Amino acid sequence: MGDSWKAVADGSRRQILLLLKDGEKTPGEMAGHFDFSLPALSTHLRVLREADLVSERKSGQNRFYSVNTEKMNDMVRFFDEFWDDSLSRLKRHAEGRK
Amino acid sequence: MSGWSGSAEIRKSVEIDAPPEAVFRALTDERELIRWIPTKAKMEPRVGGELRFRFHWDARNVDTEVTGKIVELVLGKKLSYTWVAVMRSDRDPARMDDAPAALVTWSLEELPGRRTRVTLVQKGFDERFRRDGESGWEHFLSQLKVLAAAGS
Repeated sequence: MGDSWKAVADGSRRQILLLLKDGEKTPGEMAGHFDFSLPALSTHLRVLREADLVSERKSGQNRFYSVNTEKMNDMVRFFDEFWDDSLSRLKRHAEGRK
Repeated sequence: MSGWSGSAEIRKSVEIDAPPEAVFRALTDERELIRWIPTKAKMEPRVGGELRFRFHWDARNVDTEVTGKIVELVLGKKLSYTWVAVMRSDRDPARMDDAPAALVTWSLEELPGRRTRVTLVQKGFDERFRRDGESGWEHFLSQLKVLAAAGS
Protein backbone atom coordinates (compact mmCIF):
# COMPACT_ATOMS: atom_id res chain seq x y z
CA MET A 1 0.00 0.00 0.00
CA GLY A 2 2.86 2.38 0.75
CA ASP A 3 3.74 2.75 -2.89
CA SER A 4 0.27 3.68 -3.98
CA TRP A 5 0.07 6.41 -1.34
CA LYS A 6 3.41 7.75 -2.46
CA ALA A 7 2.21 7.66 -6.04
CA VAL A 8 -0.79 9.86 -5.28
CA ALA A 9 1.25 12.17 -3.06
CA ASP A 10 1.66 14.35 -6.08
CA GLY A 11 -0.89 16.69 -7.62
CA SER A 12 0.17 15.94 -11.20
CA ARG A 13 -0.29 12.22 -10.76
CA ARG A 14 -3.70 12.75 -9.19
CA GLN A 15 -4.62 14.83 -12.25
CA ILE A 16 -3.53 12.00 -14.52
CA LEU A 17 -5.66 9.48 -12.63
CA LEU A 18 -8.67 11.76 -12.82
CA LEU A 19 -8.17 12.26 -16.54
CA LEU A 20 -8.02 8.49 -17.06
CA LYS A 21 -11.27 7.87 -15.22
CA ASP A 22 -13.14 8.78 -18.41
CA GLY A 23 -11.44 5.97 -20.31
CA GLU A 24 -8.07 4.80 -21.55
CA LYS A 25 -5.76 7.28 -23.22
CA THR A 26 -2.40 7.41 -24.95
CA PRO A 27 0.34 9.70 -23.59
CA GLY A 28 -0.18 11.92 -26.64
CA GLU A 29 -3.86 12.37 -25.79
CA MET A 30 -3.00 13.09 -22.17
CA ALA A 31 -0.23 15.59 -22.86
CA GLY A 32 -2.62 18.23 -24.16
CA HIS A 33 -4.30 18.42 -20.76
CA PHE A 34 -1.17 19.23 -18.78
CA ASP A 35 1.49 21.85 -18.76
CA PHE A 36 4.31 19.43 -18.03
CA SER A 37 6.51 17.88 -20.72
CA LEU A 38 6.03 14.48 -22.36
CA PRO A 39 9.12 13.06 -20.58
CA ALA A 40 7.69 14.25 -17.24
CA LEU A 41 4.39 12.61 -18.17
CA SER A 42 6.19 9.34 -18.93
CA THR A 43 7.87 9.45 -15.52
CA HIS A 44 4.54 10.00 -13.79
CA LEU A 45 2.99 7.15 -15.76
CA ARG A 46 5.86 4.85 -14.80
CA VAL A 47 5.37 5.68 -11.10
CA LEU A 48 1.63 5.06 -11.41
CA ARG A 49 2.22 1.80 -13.25
CA GLU A 50 4.76 0.58 -10.68
CA ALA A 51 2.23 1.36 -7.95
CA ASP A 52 -0.26 -0.70 -9.94
CA LEU A 53 -2.65 2.26 -10.13
CA VAL A 54 -2.71 2.31 -13.92
CA SER A 55 -2.46 -0.46 -16.48
CA GLU A 56 -0.78 -0.26 -19.84
CA ARG A 57 -2.07 -1.87 -23.02
CA LYS A 58 -0.01 -1.94 -26.21
CA SER A 59 -1.72 -1.86 -29.57
CA GLY A 60 0.48 -1.42 -32.61
CA GLN A 61 2.58 1.69 -32.07
CA ASN A 62 0.33 2.96 -29.30
CA ARG A 63 0.32 2.49 -25.56
CA PHE A 64 -3.01 2.97 -23.84
CA TYR A 65 -3.25 3.71 -20.14
CA SER A 66 -6.23 3.07 -17.92
CA VAL A 67 -7.04 3.19 -14.22
CA ASN A 68 -6.76 -0.01 -12.18
CA THR A 69 -10.03 0.15 -10.25
CA GLU A 70 -9.17 -2.78 -7.99
CA LYS A 71 -6.20 -0.93 -6.56
CA MET A 72 -8.35 2.16 -6.13
CA ASN A 73 -10.74 0.05 -4.11
CA ASP A 74 -7.88 -0.90 -1.79
CA MET A 75 -7.15 2.76 -1.16
CA VAL A 76 -10.73 3.60 -0.27
CA ARG A 77 -10.79 0.59 2.05
CA PHE A 78 -7.56 1.72 3.67
CA PHE A 79 -9.13 4.97 4.90
CA ASP A 80 -12.20 3.21 6.10
CA GLU A 81 -10.26 0.57 7.97
CA PHE A 82 -7.82 3.10 9.34
CA TRP A 83 -10.58 5.00 11.14
CA ASP A 84 -12.45 1.83 12.17
CA ASP A 85 -9.25 0.52 13.77
CA SER A 86 -8.46 3.85 15.40
CA LEU A 87 -11.92 4.22 16.90
CA SER A 88 -11.93 0.73 18.33
CA ARG A 89 -8.50 1.30 19.85
CA LEU A 90 -9.69 4.62 21.30
CA LYS A 91 -12.71 2.86 22.79
CA ARG A 92 -10.58 0.11 24.35
CA HIS A 93 -8.11 2.64 25.70
CA ALA A 94 -10.70 5.03 27.15
CA GLU A 95 -12.73 2.23 28.71
CA GLY A 96 -9.75 0.37 30.08
CA ARG A 97 -8.57 3.31 32.11
CA LYS A 98 -11.73 3.71 34.14
CA MET B 1 -11.69 29.71 6.82
CA SER B 2 -12.80 29.29 3.23
CA GLY B 3 -12.11 26.34 1.03
CA TRP B 4 -13.82 23.41 2.70
CA SER B 5 -16.08 21.66 0.31
CA GLY B 6 -18.28 18.92 1.42
CA SER B 7 -18.69 16.02 -0.96
CA ALA B 8 -16.17 13.37 0.05
CA GLU B 9 -16.15 12.67 3.71
CA ILE B 10 -15.69 9.75 5.98
CA ARG B 11 -17.95 9.70 9.01
CA LYS B 12 -17.71 7.20 11.86
CA SER B 13 -19.36 7.00 15.23
CA VAL B 14 -18.74 4.93 18.33
CA GLU B 15 -20.17 4.83 21.86
CA ILE B 16 -17.63 4.67 24.62
CA ASP B 17 -18.20 3.62 28.18
CA ALA B 18 -16.26 6.57 29.64
CA PRO B 19 -17.19 10.21 30.26
CA PRO B 20 -16.41 12.94 27.67
CA GLU B 21 -13.56 14.43 29.78
CA ALA B 22 -11.73 11.10 29.71
CA VAL B 23 -12.25 10.63 25.97
CA PHE B 24 -11.11 14.20 25.35
CA ARG B 25 -7.91 13.53 27.29
CA ALA B 26 -7.28 10.48 25.12
CA LEU B 27 -7.56 12.73 22.05
CA THR B 28 -5.28 15.51 23.29
CA ASP B 29 -2.75 14.11 25.76
CA GLU B 30 0.49 12.98 24.09
CA ARG B 31 1.02 10.08 26.50
CA GLU B 32 -2.48 8.83 25.90
CA LEU B 33 -2.47 9.36 22.13
CA ILE B 34 0.37 6.90 21.59
CA ARG B 35 -1.61 4.23 23.41
CA TRP B 36 -4.28 4.11 20.72
CA ILE B 37 -3.25 5.91 17.57
CA PRO B 38 0.26 6.75 16.27
CA THR B 39 3.65 5.36 17.21
CA LYS B 40 4.81 8.88 18.10
CA ALA B 41 2.75 11.92 18.97
CA LYS B 42 3.26 15.61 19.59
CA MET B 43 0.24 17.72 20.39
CA GLU B 44 -0.18 21.29 21.59
CA PRO B 45 -3.80 21.25 22.74
CA ARG B 46 -4.85 24.85 21.95
CA VAL B 47 -6.28 26.58 18.87
CA GLY B 48 -3.37 27.21 16.48
CA GLY B 49 -1.29 24.57 18.27
CA GLU B 50 0.62 22.04 16.20
CA LEU B 51 0.38 18.30 16.07
CA ARG B 52 2.68 15.73 14.60
CA PHE B 53 1.91 12.04 14.46
CA ARG B 54 4.12 9.30 13.12
CA PHE B 55 2.45 6.16 11.84
CA HIS B 56 4.70 3.24 11.25
CA TRP B 57 3.19 -0.09 10.38
CA ASP B 58 5.55 -2.58 8.79
CA ALA B 59 2.65 -4.90 8.12
CA ARG B 60 1.01 -2.38 5.84
CA ASN B 61 4.22 -0.98 4.42
CA VAL B 62 3.23 2.42 5.73
CA ASP B 63 5.58 4.95 7.29
CA THR B 64 3.93 8.32 7.29
CA GLU B 65 4.20 11.47 9.27
CA VAL B 66 1.08 13.54 9.70
CA THR B 67 1.31 17.20 10.60
CA GLY B 68 -1.48 19.60 11.33
CA LYS B 69 -2.80 22.55 13.24
CA ILE B 70 -5.67 22.70 15.65
CA VAL B 71 -8.46 24.84 14.21
CA GLU B 72 -11.07 24.30 16.91
CA LEU B 73 -10.94 23.11 20.49
CA VAL B 74 -13.88 23.07 22.89
CA LEU B 75 -12.83 21.30 26.08
CA GLY B 76 -14.60 17.98 26.46
CA LYS B 77 -16.75 18.54 23.37
CA LYS B 78 -14.94 19.14 20.13
CA LEU B 79 -11.50 18.92 18.56
CA SER B 80 -10.76 19.75 14.96
CA TYR B 81 -7.41 19.73 13.20
CA THR B 82 -5.89 19.77 9.74
CA TRP B 83 -4.23 16.58 8.69
CA VAL B 84 -1.47 16.56 6.10
CA ALA B 85 0.32 13.30 5.48
CA VAL B 86 3.91 13.76 4.40
CA MET B 87 5.86 11.06 2.62
CA ARG B 88 9.28 10.82 1.08
CA SER B 89 9.21 11.61 -2.62
CA ASP B 90 9.96 8.68 -4.86
CA ARG B 91 11.66 10.91 -7.37
CA ASP B 92 13.93 12.76 -5.00
CA PRO B 93 14.49 11.22 -1.57
CA ALA B 94 15.46 14.60 -0.15
CA ARG B 95 12.11 16.06 -1.04
CA MET B 96 8.97 15.51 0.94
CA ASP B 97 5.71 15.43 -0.99
CA ASP B 98 2.58 16.52 0.73
CA ALA B 99 -0.21 14.18 0.22
CA PRO B 100 -3.64 13.49 1.57
CA ALA B 101 -4.67 16.74 3.21
CA ALA B 102 -7.81 16.70 5.23
CA LEU B 103 -9.73 18.20 8.11
CA VAL B 104 -10.35 15.79 10.98
CA THR B 105 -13.09 16.64 13.47
CA TRP B 106 -13.91 14.81 16.68
CA SER B 107 -17.25 15.58 18.35
CA LEU B 108 -18.11 14.22 21.78
CA GLU B 109 -21.66 13.95 23.02
CA GLU B 110 -22.37 13.06 26.63
CA LEU B 111 -24.75 10.11 27.03
CA PRO B 112 -26.58 9.03 30.19
CA GLY B 113 -24.55 6.83 32.54
CA ARG B 114 -21.19 8.55 32.05
CA ARG B 115 -20.95 7.39 28.48
CA THR B 116 -19.88 9.29 25.35
CA ARG B 117 -20.83 9.16 21.71
CA VAL B 118 -17.75 9.97 19.62
CA THR B 119 -18.20 11.05 16.02
CA LEU B 120 -15.25 11.36 13.72
CA VAL B 121 -15.43 13.16 10.39
CA GLN B 122 -12.58 13.32 7.91
CA LYS B 123 -13.14 15.83 5.13
CA GLY B 124 -10.98 16.99 2.29
CA PHE B 125 -9.14 20.18 3.06
CA ASP B 126 -8.85 21.92 -0.16
CA GLU B 127 -6.98 25.07 0.88
CA ARG B 128 -3.51 23.73 0.13
CA PHE B 129 -4.57 22.03 -3.05
CA ARG B 130 -6.43 24.80 -4.74
CA ARG B 131 -3.62 25.02 -7.28
CA ASP B 132 -4.62 21.54 -8.40
CA GLY B 133 -7.96 22.97 -9.42
CA GLU B 134 -10.41 20.16 -9.78
CA SER B 135 -8.03 17.51 -8.64
CA GLY B 136 -7.76 18.52 -4.99
CA TRP B 137 -7.48 15.66 -2.57
CA GLU B 138 -11.12 15.77 -1.71
CA HIS B 139 -12.21 15.60 -5.30
CA PHE B 140 -9.73 12.80 -5.77
CA LEU B 141 -11.13 10.91 -2.82
CA SER B 142 -14.68 11.19 -4.12
CA GLN B 143 -13.58 10.02 -7.56
CA LEU B 144 -11.72 7.13 -5.96
CA LYS B 145 -15.02 5.98 -4.55
CA VAL B 146 -16.77 6.33 -7.88
CA LEU B 147 -14.00 4.41 -9.63
CA ALA B 148 -13.87 1.74 -6.96
CA ALA B 149 -17.64 1.28 -7.10
CA ALA B 150 -17.57 1.02 -10.87
CA GLY B 151 -14.88 -1.65 -10.68
CA SER B 152 -16.45 -3.80 -8.03
